[in-house]
Amino acid sequence: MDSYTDIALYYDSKTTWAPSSLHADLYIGSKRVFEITGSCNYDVGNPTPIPIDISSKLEFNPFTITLNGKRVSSKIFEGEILIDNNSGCLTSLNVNFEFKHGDYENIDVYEGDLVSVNTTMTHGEMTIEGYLDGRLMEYDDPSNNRINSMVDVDVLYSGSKIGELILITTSNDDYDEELHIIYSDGSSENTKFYYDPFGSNIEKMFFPFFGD
Amino acid sequence: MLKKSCYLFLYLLLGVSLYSKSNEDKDTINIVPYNRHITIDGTYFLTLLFKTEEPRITPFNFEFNVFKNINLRTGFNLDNSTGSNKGMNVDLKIGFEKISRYSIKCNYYYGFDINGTYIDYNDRPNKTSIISLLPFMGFEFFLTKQFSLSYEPKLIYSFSKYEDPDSFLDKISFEEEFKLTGLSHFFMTFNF
Repeated sequence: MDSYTDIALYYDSKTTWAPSSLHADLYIGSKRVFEITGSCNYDVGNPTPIPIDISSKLEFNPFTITLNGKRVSSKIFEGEILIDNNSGCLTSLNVNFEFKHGDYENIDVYEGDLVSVNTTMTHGEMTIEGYLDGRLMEYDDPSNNRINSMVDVDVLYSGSKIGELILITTSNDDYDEELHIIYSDGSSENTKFYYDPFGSNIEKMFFPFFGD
Repeated sequence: MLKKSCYLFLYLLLGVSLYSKSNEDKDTINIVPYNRHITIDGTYFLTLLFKTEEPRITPFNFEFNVFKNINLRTGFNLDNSTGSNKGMNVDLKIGFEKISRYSIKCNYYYGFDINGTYIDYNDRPNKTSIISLLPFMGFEFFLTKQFSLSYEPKLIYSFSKYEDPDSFLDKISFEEEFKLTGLSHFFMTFNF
């Protein structure tokens, strides 16, 4: 680690030191295999001094992961994750949260303080757009129909909707809840078909760094 | 915030209890002349003390005496916003309750409500319509002539219609649900 700075924050009658920037490298021999660069600004002076602007970059050669987050207004927050293999393969995820008020210490999403969550995930020509009505969090054990009504997840290819995700309860003995994708022709498929191999690939990708 | 809510609740109870000492010989049914009532869902007022289990029931209600010991109950809730990711949420409730005297300070009552809910969004065509039948039984304790607390468990039967015109599968779906409410039905009533 060649640089690190922190900042004094006063919260709950105590002074804490929170990181504001850092830079670190990891070399194996003369080859750099990992680098992290980050900076963070806080809402200094607010009774709850939350982070309001986070910018960080992690490089696992050849992958670069960029994480950004910022407060757009007192009630709206944006986050972004970019995964790039530095040869044209870019996956991005944008998340936007809106809360009912800016009293951060007392935000309780189960009591209606979450207004909505919007997400957009892009990989090449494919886009997955998601929307969640925050009022869903107020319900105890909501039904699948209610979840599907208050949550929309659409899959688009070149801007045209080709599928949507819905939650269903299987008719097998266990009555498991599964996330299925419904295609425009009415056919459907369990999304496990996609995310199981994806998880395995991620594990393989990070195996050289973290092991099993 | 939890501490503040607890203190507020305790101060409220203390104030009302002290005031009630000067009215402690009042008979609730026979002496209380009031035939209009405003009830507030106590769990909305003190959401950090109790979990609201059924957010679709109106938190603010009026009651009018229509026959001897029979009240008409109404409630209304409107949450509307022109924000792109918001929309309209309307609840309208109507029902009847029959009150019976249990003791000088206590009543019990029973009846039913019918609640209608409509939800839509500004940026998507999804719509939800719910009609609910809510038989209930409640116990009311008078702290003063004007102020009472009641606990009102309900059975909720809901028939819901979900519309999603953009969906590839079910553009319209229906659902029935039975549910028993729990602690969410603690009410504070002002009689006038």
